[in-house]
Amino acid sequence: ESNWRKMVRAKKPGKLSAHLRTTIGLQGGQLPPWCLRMKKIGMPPDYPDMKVAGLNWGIENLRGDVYGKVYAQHKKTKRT
Amino acid sequence: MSSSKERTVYVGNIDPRVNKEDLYELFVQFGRIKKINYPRDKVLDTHQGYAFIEFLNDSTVDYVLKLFGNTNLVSLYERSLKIRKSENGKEANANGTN
Repeated sequence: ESNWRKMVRAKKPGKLSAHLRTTIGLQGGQLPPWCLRMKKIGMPPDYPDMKVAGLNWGIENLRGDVYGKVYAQHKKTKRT
Repeated sequence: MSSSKERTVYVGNIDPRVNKEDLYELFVQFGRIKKINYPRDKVLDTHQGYAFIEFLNDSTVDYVLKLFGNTNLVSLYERSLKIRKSENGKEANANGTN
């Protein structure tokens, strides 16, 4: 389905649109509520090298749509 | 290889203004997504307030459950999402209309 592919291209871990920020109730310059939990339990198994501003990445990277970054997006993930 | 059920979480208490794209954008933060089933009422054509998110890997399910814990971690339109392991027979590709 082309809509799905479009969505997969547009929506990335570490990025939140202004629309979703508003929906969640995030204020400007605020980290998403799950970041502190990520600090406690670790990064998602699909993105072990994820960087999150203010955790393992400079807080200055928190701007616009970006709060984090996944450097290596593997095409294939390991099956567990 | 795990069954699709084991890779799926149930998400409840979803505000009707939330669309599938919002759910994708939120849950892709926690892992790669294979499929989302967000059933609509056939008559009213509104979403029914719950969804099944199927991830690519079952380890993401445990991660999401751990991340949310018993807390109201994320609210959409001030309604806190309820996350559970998908129950028997319910999976992302099930026909979810009741």
